[in-house]
Amino acid sequence: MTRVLLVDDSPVMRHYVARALRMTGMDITIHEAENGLVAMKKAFEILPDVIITDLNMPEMSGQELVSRVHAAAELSATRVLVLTADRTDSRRGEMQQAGADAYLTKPVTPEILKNSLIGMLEARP
Amino acid sequence: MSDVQAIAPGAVRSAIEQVFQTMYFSEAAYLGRAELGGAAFGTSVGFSGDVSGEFRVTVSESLASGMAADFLALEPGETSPEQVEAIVKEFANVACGATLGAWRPGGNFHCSVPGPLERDSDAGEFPYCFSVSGNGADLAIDIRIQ
Repeated sequence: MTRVLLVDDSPVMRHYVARALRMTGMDITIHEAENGLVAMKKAFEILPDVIITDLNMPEMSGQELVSRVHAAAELSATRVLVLTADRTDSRRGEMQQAGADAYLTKPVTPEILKNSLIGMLEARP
Repeated sequence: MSDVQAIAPGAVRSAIEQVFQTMYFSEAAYLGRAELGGAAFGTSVGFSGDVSGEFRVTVSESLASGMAADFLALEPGETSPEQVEAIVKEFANVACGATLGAWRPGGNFHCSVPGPLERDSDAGEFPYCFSVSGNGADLAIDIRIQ
């Protein structure tokens, strides 16, 4: 069972991504958070395998969340996928430097999501 | 703000078609310049970077309701006005990024949080219109470059 923490300030977007995750056919438990701050608290509780996060959110942005997860020893096995509408190369580079394991741009298909998740999980030590 | 349409229609068309196919599992037929009749929702996304401007989306009420139902896997009529508004904003956010990416691949842009757009009663024709329902234009895009 793969534990996924979905982080997006838009409830409808969380709903959509959760549906796309279920459509992958993978054995997944989905948890949700509306911003990076709530996500960090939940992450320490559930120790997710993967965090899927948006970037522009109130309270704590996706970029800060990525940095904090990367720095937390307890979350060293957690992989982070950034899912955003921002397609700029500079943004992608910033997220990779902050510690993101994958960067996908919306709109995304369930197939692309699945391939990305599998790739990240297989790459874990 | 200039009303000159500097973004190639091909970029708008391919981006909107891709967003509809991927997120709403439906086709958006490009009509070009057209009028959008009836009640509609409007939302606006500002962008800055290599080029600055505003990405405006106007969606007929019936299409907006259908988009919300598709997106949330609900029956038409089961969606709340708040959900419909949120879906149109999410669409505008994704469509803005996709259009700018198709127009200038590798370009540097930052899109703002979508906000409300008051519909101009004298709006007349919109430069980039689409038909999703098959019954005339029900989605209009307007891009203002600063």
